[in-house]
Amino acid sequence: MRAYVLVLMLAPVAPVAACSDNEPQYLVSPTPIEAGLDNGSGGFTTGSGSLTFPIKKETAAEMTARMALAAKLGVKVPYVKVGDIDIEVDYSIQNLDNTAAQAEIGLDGANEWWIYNPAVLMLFPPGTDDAPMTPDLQGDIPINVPAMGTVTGTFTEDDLLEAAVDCDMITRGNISPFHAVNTINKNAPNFQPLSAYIVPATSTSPAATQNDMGPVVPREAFANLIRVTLVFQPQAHMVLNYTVRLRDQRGIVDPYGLQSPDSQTTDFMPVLFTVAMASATGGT
Amino acid sequence: MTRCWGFALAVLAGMAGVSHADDRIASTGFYAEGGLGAVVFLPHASDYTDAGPAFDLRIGRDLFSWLSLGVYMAASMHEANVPPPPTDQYFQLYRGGADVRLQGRLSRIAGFLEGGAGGSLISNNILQQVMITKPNKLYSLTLSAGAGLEYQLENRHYAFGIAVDGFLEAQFASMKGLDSRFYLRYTYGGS
Repeated sequence: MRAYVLVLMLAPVAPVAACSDNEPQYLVSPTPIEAGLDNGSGGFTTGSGSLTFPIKKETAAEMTARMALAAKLGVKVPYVKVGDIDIEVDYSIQNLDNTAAQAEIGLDGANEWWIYNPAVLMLFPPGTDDAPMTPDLQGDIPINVPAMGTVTGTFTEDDLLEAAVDCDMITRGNISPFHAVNTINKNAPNFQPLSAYIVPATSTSPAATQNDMGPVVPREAFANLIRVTLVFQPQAHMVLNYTVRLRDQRGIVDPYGLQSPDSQTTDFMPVLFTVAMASATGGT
Repeated sequence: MTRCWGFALAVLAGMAGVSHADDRIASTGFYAEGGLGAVVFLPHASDYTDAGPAFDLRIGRDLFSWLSLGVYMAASMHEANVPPPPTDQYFQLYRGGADVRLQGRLSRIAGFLEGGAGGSLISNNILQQVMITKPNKLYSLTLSAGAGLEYQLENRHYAFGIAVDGFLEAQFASMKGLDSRFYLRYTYGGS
């Protein structure tokens, strides 16, 4: 009887015992992104901002385990893998203008090896008629913002998972950004890297064929994002604020957040991803 | 405030003084309490937090019929109303500590005052942007004080009651709140 009473009394606090250790950590963007002013040529200014996550330095044991996994899989294995951190980006757009207007947010980013910036990624030869813009990893959806109003939104954890996998497929796998972004890859078990994409020299030149290159990259070796970049394109004077929400599944995010001392965090140095362009004589 | 506490103590002393033969028998000894209720925060924390459901567990020992020592654990969940972004985010506040309870009884009704100290853990840093928590500081010293009323059932081991405790989180920008609860108590002792 006494045990029964104790169990009954313990029941309400059971959720405490069940609470998980992957509580979110919020990283508030240090500066708002202001854009949408007249750019002097009939258009509007755009703005962008990046936030790199405070990832702890890799320990010797972690590096050993990572190297062992890389040797086993036969591919490079990143320190921050897909599944190590669940990322969400919450944003608010404040319209400072007294007319309703639309705004677009493009979400890009970087993993520990590569920066994906579609603005510098020219996939079509110069002079191509109606060449489509290289897509952002997420976003690019018009958002209606009322006059003097505020709209909030979220790039969900699923969106960021998709963005991370797409980023790795595009940069390491040389898969076309159009293909990667317009297909659902977040649950992909692996991807086959291709040979580098070569932009044809002219719009009439045939595109070079991409062939399978190197071993298949399994999901265990997919690189996660370590940085997000938001590109803000409003059609009126607006301000974008954003907060990154991280759920650390592996204990690699520094608990001091953006106040983390540099000595405690990894200084990733990803490289801007570009594609080569064929020369007019046919070489690269 | 001092006058208020003095009055409450006087009432308790009076209740203790008038206990007599028709008191409903209540066990004293080791006890356990489980409660459900709500936690609301007081300004300025209430500007950024909603009231939320709370659970608590308390175990202790009646040293005398009028004095008890106990320890407690409590958890509550709240929606954070920080300036967006983000929106629709929640946090949990876990509290634990030890307290002293002074009790007086008038037949089947008992009243008590309690106060104690302990610690708290907040589950995430959502309140950092409104300067309530600091980076990597999710723990706080907690001070609490409150009062309650208890109804003794026919079975001397069982009672239920209501209580309200005010608490202060020293390291969370001195965030203050009220924890109100309805609880069931079981006393193990036979005396």
